[in-house]
Amino acid sequence: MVLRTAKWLTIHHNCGWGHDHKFNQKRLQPGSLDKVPLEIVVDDLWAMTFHSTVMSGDTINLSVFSYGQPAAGATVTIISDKGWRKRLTTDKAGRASFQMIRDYYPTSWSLFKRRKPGRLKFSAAHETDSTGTFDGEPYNRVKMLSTFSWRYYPAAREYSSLAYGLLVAVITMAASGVGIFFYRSNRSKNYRDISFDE
Amino acid sequence: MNNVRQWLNNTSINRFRFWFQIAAFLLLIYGGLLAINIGDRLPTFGCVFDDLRGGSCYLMGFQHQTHIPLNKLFTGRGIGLLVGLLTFIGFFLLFNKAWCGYACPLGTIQDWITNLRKKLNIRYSNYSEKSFNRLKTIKYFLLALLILIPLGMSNSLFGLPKLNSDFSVPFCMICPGRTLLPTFAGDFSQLTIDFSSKTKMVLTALGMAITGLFFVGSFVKKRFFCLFCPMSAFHYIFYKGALLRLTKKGEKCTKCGNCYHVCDVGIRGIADDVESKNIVKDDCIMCFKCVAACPEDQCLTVKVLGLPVYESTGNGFSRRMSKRNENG
Repeated sequence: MVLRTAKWLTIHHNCGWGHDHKFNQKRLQPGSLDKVPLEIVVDDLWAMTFHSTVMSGDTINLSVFSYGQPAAGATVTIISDKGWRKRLTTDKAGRASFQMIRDYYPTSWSLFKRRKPGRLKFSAAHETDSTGTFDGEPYNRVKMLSTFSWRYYPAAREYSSLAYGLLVAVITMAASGVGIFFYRSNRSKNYRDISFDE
Repeated sequence: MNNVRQWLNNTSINRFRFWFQIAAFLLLIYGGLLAINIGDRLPTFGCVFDDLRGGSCYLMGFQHQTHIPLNKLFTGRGIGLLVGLLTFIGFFLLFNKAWCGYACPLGTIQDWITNLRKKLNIRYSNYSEKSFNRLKTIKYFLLALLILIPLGMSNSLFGLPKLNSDFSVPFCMICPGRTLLPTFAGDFSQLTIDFSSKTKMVLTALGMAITGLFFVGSFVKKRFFCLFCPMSAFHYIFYKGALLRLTKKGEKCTKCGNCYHVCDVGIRGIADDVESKNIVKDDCIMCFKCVAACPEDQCLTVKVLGLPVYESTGNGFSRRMSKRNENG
């Protein structure tokens, strides 16, 4: 018998409501239901501000549950919309992790979009020896399949530079500091009388 | 009652302010650790980019909310803008511009830099009257820009094309509060230059250049940044309705100039103006150092709801001076 489950998760948040619930740990937990035959639960999909934070280069931790219990040995396949694919097997606790690939390479700087969303599809498969009947048909093995999709963005480290930031600040400090020093030095010089040779 | 008032008038407001500023700094920068959140409509800088904040500046929300098409002004979005503005005004009316002098973390950092300069025995600078009057207009220009730029992202203003979304929260991009305050929470990500677009690159580079100027400026000029702060300009629109006031009895003023000399911002009007009763000027941070430095009885008075809470007295002035001389 084959059971298929699709999961759709949304961040119930609007910036207009503010970000007041950032310390409400319960709201930060990923949603899960123990009535679902097979479910993929991914950690850290959003930050304390309820904004999606999955970025290229991040290590993504996930769990697979079957009726709320860890599904050990489940096969998880991750496919990005650019065709990148990764296959994992969950451990005894039903957990697995992988590093998100960087696959966004626009041809020119002007085409780069900081918040360009990439799509990511997780699919999990888990087989168990189980006998029974369904619609009058006997079965002795159950294969459960589950899918879940999310989005990911270019990592901030791809387009931001701390070194250049500090360099700009240091140059400004040095230039203004030297300017003030010479301005003060000139002002503290004694008045020089200018005499003309008649 | 008279004894309490006398004790208050003889106290050192600077020492009280020093500790109050530290408490406000801890609350606004780290308050989140204790799940404190005063809100994000505060009339002072507590930065929204600081994840541990206990409250944040209204300018961020205001810029977000003025990113609104003009035809949506009288819809739910307009109500959101109005509610945000009224909340900000409510907070402001409680403490007037004392938010700047007592609560602003960016102001507190400037005061710490001033203390460092004093310890190093380096003299401070002041602007000439002409420069002061020219420079003080910058904050109104910045305030106008932080309203017009978000509006220009949603609307075609003056027949110009709409601005791209990288102009979002333009003042935050150049504000030293954004770059510096998160660093106290261990987050250095705001010190970067964002190369994702030309607009972001220019704005974040400008932000870092202003951060550099902030350090050098605050080192040589007390409360250097306050003269350019658009929040201060925003305050000044509503200051007349505030519960906390600074009043002056012009007939008692001898124009000795003490108040001007101790003023961190360098407001000459505090000494020269003998006509106005409400003496709060647009650049005033309501630190009340002027009250402490005034030797004339009841010439300068801090009032809450019309009731005097701290006023200048000859006795208080003498006691503060003698204490200062004792401490060297």
